[in-house]
Amino acid sequence: MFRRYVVASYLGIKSAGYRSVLTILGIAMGLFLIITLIAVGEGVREQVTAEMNQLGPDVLSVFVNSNTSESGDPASSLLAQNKKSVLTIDEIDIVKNTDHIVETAPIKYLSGEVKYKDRITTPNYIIATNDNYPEIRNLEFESGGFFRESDDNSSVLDVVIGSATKKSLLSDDKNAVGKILEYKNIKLRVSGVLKEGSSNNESMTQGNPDNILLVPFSVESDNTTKFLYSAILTKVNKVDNVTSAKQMITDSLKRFDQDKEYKVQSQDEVLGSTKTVLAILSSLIFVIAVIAVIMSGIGIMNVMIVAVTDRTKEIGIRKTVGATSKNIFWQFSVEAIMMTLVGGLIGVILSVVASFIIKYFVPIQPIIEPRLIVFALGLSAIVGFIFGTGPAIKASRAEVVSALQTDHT
Amino acid sequence: MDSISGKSNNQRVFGSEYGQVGSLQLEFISRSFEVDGSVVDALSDVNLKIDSGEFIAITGQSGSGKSTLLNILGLLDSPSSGKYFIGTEDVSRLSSTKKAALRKNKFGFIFQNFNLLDRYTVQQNIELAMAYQHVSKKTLNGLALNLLRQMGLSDKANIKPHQLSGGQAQRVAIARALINSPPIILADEPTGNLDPASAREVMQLLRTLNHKGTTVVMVTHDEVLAEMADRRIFVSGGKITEGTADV
Repeated sequence: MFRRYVVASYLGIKSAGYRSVLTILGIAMGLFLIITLIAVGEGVREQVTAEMNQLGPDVLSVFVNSNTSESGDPASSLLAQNKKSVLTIDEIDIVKNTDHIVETAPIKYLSGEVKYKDRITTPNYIIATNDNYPEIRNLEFESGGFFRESDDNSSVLDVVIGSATKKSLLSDDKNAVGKILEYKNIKLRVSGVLKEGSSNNESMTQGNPDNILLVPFSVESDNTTKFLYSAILTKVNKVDNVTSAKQMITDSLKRFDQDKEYKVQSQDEVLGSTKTVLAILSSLIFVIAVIAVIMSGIGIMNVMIVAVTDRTKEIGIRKTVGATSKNIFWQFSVEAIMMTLVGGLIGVILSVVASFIIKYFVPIQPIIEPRLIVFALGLSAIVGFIFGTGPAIKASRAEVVSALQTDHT
Repeated sequence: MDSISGKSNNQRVFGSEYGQVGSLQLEFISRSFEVDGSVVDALSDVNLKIDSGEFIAITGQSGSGKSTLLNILGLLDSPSSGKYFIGTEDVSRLSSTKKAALRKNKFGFIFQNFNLLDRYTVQQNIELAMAYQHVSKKTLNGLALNLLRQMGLSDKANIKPHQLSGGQAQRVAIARALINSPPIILADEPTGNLDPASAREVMQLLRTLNHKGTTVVMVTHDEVLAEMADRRIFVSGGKITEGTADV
């Protein structure tokens, strides 16, 4: 019986000609929109999550909560901060000596211009840190490696530059390692170049994170600020111990200085706002998807109402030869589902093609997983059934005699 | 057109193996419609008995109620009051599903305007009458093609109905009415749109079917054709005025 519904539906769809084609195209475009948006959204989410995960779930960041640092301009704020808004060596020692802590990297945000010959650039981030930093941050290098703290006292300081900084100063020079840069009249030797995207992390919200310069602490000669730090990154021995380590650090620091408002954050907390943004993005995609589904549904409903009206006589004839209301209902439902499924299939194909095009032109990797295709086709069938139900019920309720008397065949 | 006599597996539709369904009996059947707020009686207290194997012609002027009577006999319409028995079963209050099953198995319908679907081929139109029966595609094809052969339309299987002449279209409609081997044929003005030669062919077909045991009930306003039936019933003003059977 199902095969006959399919054959009858095929003939019905075929006989409606352009009307069917346009309806199927409408559904295809709706599904294309939904799949592509979800794929792009998923791609963005994956990408952002991957970048954020560079920090690792076993890392805690410690800083002092102050209005200045909340304003989001840490690079220029340090000098203006008093001791109540920065961290000192004592506090670093407290963190370092807390149970479960295996590595600690104090960091200090600096600012200024960097020169190479006649080229000058202002990195978005200049960070002074120690050699624990690359492991805590999971840094990856395009060439060279991180500087060693033992080099701190040499006349030329080894530094690491980001890929964008390298591009600004050295263009596409393949031999960036060893080049001598200048920062505040201090000679800096490039010991490594970071891979593009490698330095990105949750705190880098201003500008391209690849435009970065990592320097040893000895780059700073001003004794009034030399031993003051913006934050401490610290690695816990096990993810399971993150919560207790966080509590212990908080308690110890509080005992050390009750007046300071210390903040100890795990990755989950740091990612909080990013997750909120992603949630908003997901909600937006969901809303657009719902609108696209409703529009596709209205399209199919419209064409099915016309089909039922056009084929009233056929309904009468079918009932005359023994079709029940249920038979008629399913015939038109199958027809609606067939149209939406074909539309859905075209939408899937268009989305796959679009995802390749997007990958080529935009640095986003849309993700179309098999389950998304199954979901899209399932959604198509459901839309066909739900929005085809009204017309199908109308068809099934047609009175035989009056249906036979209509002009439509 | 080939002879439609003789029997084989594929020719069972013309044989007497339709089985007996018993008589069709209407008791005080009335059918009224509401038209522009007022009630119009299409049929009033109609009593009629049609025995199995009869050939009956229902005649009457336009609007007399003869088509309504045929529609009620074929379970295409329901009476407003009264009882309708097929054999001993009262079918006047059956559910729509059970009525559909009876239409599927007991009746074959022939209409004045053929009621063929232009989007389907001739063969598909014939097979449509078996669309709701559990028959294999192969058997269905065999039955349809055999009927087409017997109707002299073998070469028309794959064309659309609008390419047929009136006589050919009605023969296709008759083939559709016969494919499910119905014991009763209900024909509403079957020759109304045909030229005299085609009309004679169709009447000859119906006559042959009746001789094979099929009950034929035909609505016509043509007195000459009505004379070819075993019995004539005259309907006027929603009542049977001649040939009322005892009930």
